Amino acid sequence: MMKRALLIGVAVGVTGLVLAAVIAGPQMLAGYRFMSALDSHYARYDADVGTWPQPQDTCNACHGASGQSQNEQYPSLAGQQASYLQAQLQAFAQGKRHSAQMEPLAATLSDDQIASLAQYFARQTPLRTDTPAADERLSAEGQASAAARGCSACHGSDFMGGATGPRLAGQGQAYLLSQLLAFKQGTRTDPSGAMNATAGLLSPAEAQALAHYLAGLAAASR
Amino acid sequence: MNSEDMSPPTCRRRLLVQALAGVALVGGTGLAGRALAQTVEATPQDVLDVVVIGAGLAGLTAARDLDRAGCTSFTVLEARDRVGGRTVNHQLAGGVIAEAGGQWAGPGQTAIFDLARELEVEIFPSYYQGRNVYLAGDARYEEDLSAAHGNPVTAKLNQLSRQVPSKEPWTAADAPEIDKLSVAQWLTSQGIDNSSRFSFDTSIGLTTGTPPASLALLHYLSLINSADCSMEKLEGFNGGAQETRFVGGSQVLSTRMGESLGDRLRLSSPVRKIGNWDSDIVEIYTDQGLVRARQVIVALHPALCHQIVFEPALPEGRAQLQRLWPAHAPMRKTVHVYDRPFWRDKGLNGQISQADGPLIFSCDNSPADGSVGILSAFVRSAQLTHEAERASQTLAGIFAQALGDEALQFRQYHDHDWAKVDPWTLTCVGAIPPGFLTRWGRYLKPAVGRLIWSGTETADIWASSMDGAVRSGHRAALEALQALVANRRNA
Ligand SMILES: Cc1cc2nc3c(=O)[nH]c(=O)nc-3n(C[C@H](O)[C@H](O)[C@H](O)COP(=O)(O)OP(=O)(O)OC[C@H]3O[C@@H](n4cnc5c(N)ncnc54)[C@H](O)[C@@H]3O)c2cc1C
Repeated sequence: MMKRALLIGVAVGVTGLVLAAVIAGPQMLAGYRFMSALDSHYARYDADVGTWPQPQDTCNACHGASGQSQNEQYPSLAGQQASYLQAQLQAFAQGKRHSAQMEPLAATLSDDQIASLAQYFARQTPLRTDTPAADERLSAEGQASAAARGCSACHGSDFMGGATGPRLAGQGQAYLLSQLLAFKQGTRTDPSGAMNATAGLLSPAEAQALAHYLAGLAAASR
Repeated sequence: MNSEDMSPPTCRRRLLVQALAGVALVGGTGLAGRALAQTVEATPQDVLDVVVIGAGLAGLTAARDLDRAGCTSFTVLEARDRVGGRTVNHQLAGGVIAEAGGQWAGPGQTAIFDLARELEVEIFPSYYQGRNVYLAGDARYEEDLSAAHGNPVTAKLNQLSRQVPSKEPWTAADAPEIDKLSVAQWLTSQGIDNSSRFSFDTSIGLTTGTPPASLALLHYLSLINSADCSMEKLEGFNGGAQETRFVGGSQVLSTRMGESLGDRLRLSSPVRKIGNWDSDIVEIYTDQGLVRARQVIVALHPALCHQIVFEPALPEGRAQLQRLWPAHAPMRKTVHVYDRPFWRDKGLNGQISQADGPLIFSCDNSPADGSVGILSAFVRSAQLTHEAERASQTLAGIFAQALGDEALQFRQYHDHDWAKVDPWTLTCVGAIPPGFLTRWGRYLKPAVGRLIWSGTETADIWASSMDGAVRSGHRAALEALQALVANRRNA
């Protein structure tokens, strides 16, 4: 145990743990407990993601741990269809879908990396991204809109994704709204044209209601 | 002529003259289409010697140098309604500020310290005395870093960095080999343990905006090379690049430079298109109209250059560099304000690193006199709600676990997510992946036609820091002046 505690931190950095030459008493115990917690944290990584380093490390900042975002501005990847994720990464890499952040990043990935990232995120457990402040009237409007526009035909009856459309349930409200508006304005295009046609019909208020409703849905497990 | 342009020639001419006089014609982006459609009919006296694009530290330094060299015919075009770019101050109560962007400087960063002295901006030491706190799950561990001394892995990095010149890392003798590896791949080959992995992850994530897994070893070595071949100097507080702060906040440097430019600085003038960059008179189209110049200093991050339309298209190498330059290092920085820096009384320095939660790193960002306590934090953007009330409480809970329950009693909270606030930063620092610099690096600095590239990314030393931005501004001004002389001689 002494040796273990002595091993704490051999890197120097802004935050760097250092090699403290003499660690004794309560500090050694705290150090030991901290190291155990760190060891289990990384053991979970190795079991879940793979032997370090993996490209997923780069995704975490904007998509959350295991692809589950907790910020409504950033999309969750957890539990998303692998085919959808793969198609989006390819579209970013080829400049067909626009994002200053994602285009260069996706362009650095090989086809194999894209396929394995897509599969990895697809098998993560999805949760609700962020809880939008309750607004029952808006939710009801959104629900009616989803029914009227036939969203479930592509996105599944529980909006967890269908054969042609991605998971929407529990995505962040701000992200959903930004994408509906991007489809409406044509800054994002759906190869089938379906989303551009549908979103083109939405007023800003209806888009807002839809985003609110979908963001509030629980992410069903598959 | 574009069919959108319905204005008669005289009117168009007036628009142009007004734009050149620095008058905001039409607010907002609605004019973009019109501005793009304008034809050029001005006389040579409407043509400026130099246009500088971007009023960050790089662009403003370049403009200041032009001014001091006696060049009066220039204008700085800035997209935002403020100067400072990646440096910005949150104004807190009582005249206190906290920086949302770049803020620290340290040994070897002589360009920014010289600039501060010239502008009469005072400096003061960062507060880092006392113990750091580390969190993983429920576990909490404190350590005093003043006992820090080198270790074999950093010593090896420092040694390797000697062969990688910060100026042009892609010219290093074994650049092709080094550039195959990410920092993390190299670290695993050194058999590092979990605590080192945590340290490198956090440290490198903060310095470069990307984890070691996707950071090119070549790029990281070039950053270390900038720091006198010392990772300790690059990453450390004590004796390192985080040692010193600017009184009034780093943005003050830009504010002062901007003020002295008067109406030669035009805010809210995003550049959308650059035409004829390969001929004597370049056309710069902004939301506020068209400006023409003999030389253009583009003081922008390469990814921001990519957002501008170039006509004719840029040469392939430069175009690819801009298209592929990584822009995924968005940082989110928060501020909690307390009555006092209470953690200091406990022998803590406010620095907290969390392995598995929303907090990457917090630090004591109180003003020099410690009259109020400020904790600034870098957070993992997607692991913390965007909603201010809940976000501030979540972070305060983490601070409380590390520093004690006083952390729950904060007075104010600020949140700045650089990727979401506006489109004029996109990304913070250099998240360069393996293979990039050896393929595209050589297109970064050479001027193209009348376009001179500036911005911290182009600095020979301390690229990606404020100091590098200042250096790149000096260099760009010299290049522009030399080009003007050469053109006149050839004319
Ligand atoms: C969160 C964070 C923390 C940092 N910490 C530190 C630190 O502690 N120490 C340090 O040294 N560095 C730090 N940095 C980096 C430092 O802030 C930058 O290196 C430096 O400020 C860059 O200056 P610049 O002039 O090159 O670019 P910028 O500051 O990005 O300036 C570019 C300017 O161009 C404008 N612009 C963009 N597009 C257009 C357009 N089309 N038309 C007209 N204008 C346009 C922008 O609005 C901006 O004002 C940090 C950065 C961030 C974001």
